[in-house]
Amino acid sequence: MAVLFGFLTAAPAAAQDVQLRSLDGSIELSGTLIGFDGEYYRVESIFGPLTISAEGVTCRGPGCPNLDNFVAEVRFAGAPAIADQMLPALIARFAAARGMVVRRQILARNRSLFALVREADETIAARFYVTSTTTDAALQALLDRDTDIALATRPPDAAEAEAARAADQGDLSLVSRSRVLALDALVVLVAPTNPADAITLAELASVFAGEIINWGDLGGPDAPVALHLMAEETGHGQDVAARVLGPFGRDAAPDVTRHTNLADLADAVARDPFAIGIGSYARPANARIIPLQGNCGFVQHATENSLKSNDYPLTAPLLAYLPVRRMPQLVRDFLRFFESQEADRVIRRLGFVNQDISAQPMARQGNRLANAILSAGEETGLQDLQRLITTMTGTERLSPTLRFEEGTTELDAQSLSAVSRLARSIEQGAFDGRELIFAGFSDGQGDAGANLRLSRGRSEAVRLAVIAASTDGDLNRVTLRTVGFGEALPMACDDTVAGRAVNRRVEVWLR
Amino acid sequence: MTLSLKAITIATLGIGGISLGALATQADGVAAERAATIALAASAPAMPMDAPRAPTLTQPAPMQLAQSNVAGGAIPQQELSPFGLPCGLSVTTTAIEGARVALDIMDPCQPFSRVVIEHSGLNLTGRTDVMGLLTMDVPAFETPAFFTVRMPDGASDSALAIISDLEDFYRVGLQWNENRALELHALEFGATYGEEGHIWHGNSGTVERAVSGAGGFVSMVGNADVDSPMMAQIYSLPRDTLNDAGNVRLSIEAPVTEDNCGQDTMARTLELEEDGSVAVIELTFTFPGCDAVGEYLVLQNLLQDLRVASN
Repeated sequence: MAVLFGFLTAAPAAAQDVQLRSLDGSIELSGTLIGFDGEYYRVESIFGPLTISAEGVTCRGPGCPNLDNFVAEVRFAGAPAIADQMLPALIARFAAARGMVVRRQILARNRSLFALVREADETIAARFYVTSTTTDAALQALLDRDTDIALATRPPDAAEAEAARAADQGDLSLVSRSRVLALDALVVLVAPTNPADAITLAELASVFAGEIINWGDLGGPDAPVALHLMAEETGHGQDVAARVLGPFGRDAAPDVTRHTNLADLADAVARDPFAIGIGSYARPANARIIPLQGNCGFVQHATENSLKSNDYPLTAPLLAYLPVRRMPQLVRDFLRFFESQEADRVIRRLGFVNQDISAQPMARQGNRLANAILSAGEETGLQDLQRLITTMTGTERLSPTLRFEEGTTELDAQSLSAVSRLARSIEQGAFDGRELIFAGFSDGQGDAGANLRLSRGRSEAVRLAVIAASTDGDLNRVTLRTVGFGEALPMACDDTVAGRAVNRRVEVWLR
Repeated sequence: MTLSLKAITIATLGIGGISLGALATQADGVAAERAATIALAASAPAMPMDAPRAPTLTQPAPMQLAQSNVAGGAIPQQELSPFGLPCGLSVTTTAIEGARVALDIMDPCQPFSRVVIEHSGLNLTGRTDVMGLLTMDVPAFETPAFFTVRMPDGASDSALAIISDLEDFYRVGLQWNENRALELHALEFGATYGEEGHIWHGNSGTVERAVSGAGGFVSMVGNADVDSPMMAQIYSLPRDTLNDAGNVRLSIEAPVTEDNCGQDTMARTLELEEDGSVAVIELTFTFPGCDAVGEYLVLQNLLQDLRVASN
């Protein structure tokens, strides 16, 4: 049985002496090996610490790692949705595509080692340690360097971001530090036998705050409402507190039944016709998802398209936060694998939504125009609508839709990921000879003229971000145009924070 | 009957505390070892109580039909079993209902022998009877379904079967080495333990149940009455014939017994994917210690839920 246990890790190795010589023999460097990631030596030399590509040099001396036996190691920790569900399936697919088999060793109840073993010679290429815990604990572990990659179902809050800076872990909001692995959403669940057809965000907050306690007050039968949420210490539970209850200044009622597993929650709801729960789009189990409704009449269903475009107000990206330091090559390959079509298929099979760019013809979006006409009035006139329709005609709407903080041109995490996907597609020539229109919109708060300027500014900000990200693309083969429509085409009611956030956007139209 | 279940924290393993060797590698080693000792086979293995008894033979050593060859020409020698049947391994496969394969394995000169059956990442042990015959119905994971059969004497043979209804089923397998008594549990469409939709070897469902669209079935395959047994339980759920839509949750469980407590365990999961490929993950873990005998080990999240879309 030829299993080689690697003796080198990405962790700092003990001081060792190495002598690196360029292949033509012209340059020689001696020093102490600080680390080796399978690709680069990091050497403490008389010039200070240097990083040198292993490809161009030969290594001599007792400190030299065995290049063939290098085992890439990485530790993941985080939310069960990612750690228990998504990662194992993606590791398996990633390994299979590279002629490797996966050996999973269960180390503890919530911790596994996935060894990637080359089929050809039975040697270990990588060890992925995966710990299933909470988003909280994972972000803390990232700060404490107890994990390399934190898996989160919500972005770090202000305190966590500040703690990261204090711990010399840099700025977690940077694009280079985070990846959107897939998309999920907070969804409202009821039993299949429950007649409820939609609920407003305001009603939802009142229900879970214990203010509405009877289905009769929601247009249903006279029966008490049974409440189900994820545990408070889970990322999902915290997301509900921040995005469902927080905007209305409410806290969860004390008699909420709390769960630690999303499928358990959904099945508990499915068994009780008078139950309501907030679960996840990816794991409705046997319960039924009902849409959100705005007071002004908009209904928002959680669908693959509405999650991709972030039009559903409670979309929740699954995030990975990376360390400042360089990761071994195979680990970086694995993270890049998440952007592949193969990974997209696995993500979709698991019930999550991938970020594959899809197109919807405008012809299928008649209701959006109807909404525009309905909400037109003093501030949005006939001319504005005509300009909007002229621009839209003959285009398709691409799924990436960019969203902004209130009053700013700052993109959120899912939007940054969408910019990156768009840039990759441009680089691959997917839009050659065509026109991409960045159509900016605002919410309806404030002065229409200011909103129009803000929407133009946002579309320009997106254009610049896409150009900056398309480093390898030929931007002459595609036309990038910006246009702003202010508050002309609302997609959600402006009376809630979540609704306004949905409306503040830049859509991408393809002609 | 109500089941009381208790999840137990799995004992933490040190690195290297368990072998990471491939299951197949180990199995091959065992087969070779068996091959070396098989000459003594007639008296060695304990026969199951209900197995037909062999005629009173002291040594079922192969007889030679032909006399020694004459110089100058090699006359083929035909070895015969004690029952007069020609020696040699033959394997036939027949596709049967439920996307399964009926395997007929025959080697008249290797009765009561450990047989290794390999199929699409699934490794099983079987045992030939007094006549050297072994039959087994195995749910298939691929089509054409390729089966390789290995005998202790090193002989091997392969056979194919076309599984025309494979795409009609979701299929998940759990295979393990040694006597670990692992169980595959499926909770269909929100069923709880002990209900009709709780499918496991204690309530295994039937192929007929699946074909009628009522739910899935679990197949127990492999024979534990050999050295180094390899067993499997395979859950199959019809894709389209069901009236229900929803979710089937899967878990791996095992009663902690005097036999398996504290034992390192090697297993593997097989999941049939929509594109027809099989995701195989080898699994190692340690059973809870012997102070936990009588409790149940429950391993959740090792298998993905099956999501059945409504028609």
